[in-house]
Amino acid sequence: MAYVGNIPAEAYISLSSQTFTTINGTGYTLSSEVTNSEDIALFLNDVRQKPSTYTATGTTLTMGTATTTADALYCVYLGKGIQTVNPPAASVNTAEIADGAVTNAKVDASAAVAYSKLNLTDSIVNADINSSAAIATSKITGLAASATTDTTDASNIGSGTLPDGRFPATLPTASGANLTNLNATNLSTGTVGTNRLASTGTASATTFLRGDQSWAALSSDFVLLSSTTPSAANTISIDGHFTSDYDVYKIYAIGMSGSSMSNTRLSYKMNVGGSAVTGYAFSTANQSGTTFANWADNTNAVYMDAGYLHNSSGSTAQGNLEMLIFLPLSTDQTTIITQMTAWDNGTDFGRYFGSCGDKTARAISGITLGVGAFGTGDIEADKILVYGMKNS
Amino acid sequence: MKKIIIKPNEIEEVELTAEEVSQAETNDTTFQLKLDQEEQEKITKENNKASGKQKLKDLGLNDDEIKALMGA
Repeated sequence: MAYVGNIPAEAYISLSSQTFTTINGTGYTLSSEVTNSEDIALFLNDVRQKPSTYTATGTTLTMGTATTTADALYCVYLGKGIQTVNPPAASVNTAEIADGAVTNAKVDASAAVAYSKLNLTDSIVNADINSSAAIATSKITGLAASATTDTTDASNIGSGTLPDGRFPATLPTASGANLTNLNATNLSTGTVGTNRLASTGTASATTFLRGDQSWAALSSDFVLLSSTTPSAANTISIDGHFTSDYDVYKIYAIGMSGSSMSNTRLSYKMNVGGSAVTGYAFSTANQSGTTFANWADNTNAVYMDAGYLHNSSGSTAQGNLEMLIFLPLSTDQTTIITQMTAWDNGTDFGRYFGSCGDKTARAISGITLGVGAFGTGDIEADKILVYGMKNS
Repeated sequence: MKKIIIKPNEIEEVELTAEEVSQAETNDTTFQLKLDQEEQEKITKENNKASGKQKLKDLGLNDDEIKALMGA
């Protein structure tokens, strides 16, 4: 009768035995595979052991009780695996392999699985790439062949020059503490802050920048107290400027003219408490050519004659007055007023010098200017300046 | 008529009172009298100067000698 299936590899089999040379403990290795403890007859010291006192699976024999080196142990194989039946070449199809039966261990370590056999589309994630992977630069789009894998970190740029195109038009906000060799001639627009010009003092409308790069207050020893352009009036009173801050005052009346009959004399009075008063001693001299002569004087006057003025407003050659008032607030006879007047009408001219003191030593609050002995005519000036000179 | 008052931080215009206007008009009159008096004194002084100079000449002084004495 013919065989159905594979032809057995062996036709006969004889019983065999195994003597264990190393006797100690509970675990032993069988020389042939068995299915269970019934497949062997186990003898300990020539006494057969009950199969339930040991287990035998595959090539593993496990004693229920540990043996010692004094014991003798051997077994007789009653049934054992004696052959491996291999299916014929190219006879196993997909149907013979159970789903999930092919494990990783079944794939040879050197197997070259074709890429086409792997379904890798959109499945490789960053974690699948080894941390020490040396990916070739040619595999990274946009990375120059000369680049190394870590050149995208700016801290790894150790040489070379960044081209201008790599700098943004507007530089980022960053500390310039370490910038050196800045050339001030490259500043073409903008305003340098005042705090960049000096390190000491405070910039303000009343300070100036000194050569030692410090802001300093303007010297106020000679102070402009007022600057005015009064309109024409019968009298012009300059009052309220005299304080204890100053000892000496200067009054400049520039471009004066007047209208007073046919004879325009400049007259002035002292103010006491804001009002013009009388009672002065004064003397005024006139320079005519090279000759000086007494022109007017009075020891108890109601006003002082200070000279002449041009009697045409807007003339190019008008009168100018400089007046010095020394210690106006003094209540003794040390208060003194000196004045100089000059005028030129294009044909005639005159220069007058005079001094004046109060008869009764009153504190002076100001000066009142008029023309023609304080008559009905008007006086005017292009500019009147009042200065004070500090006493400390 | 008005008066101007210049103060350190302001300038003020004030109309003259009737009394002040009247005083100014009186001052005009007084001033004109003063000018007339000054003019008369000036004429008298010039006349005296010319008369004195002539008398010195009559005494035999020349112009340089007279100038040295009178200053003119």
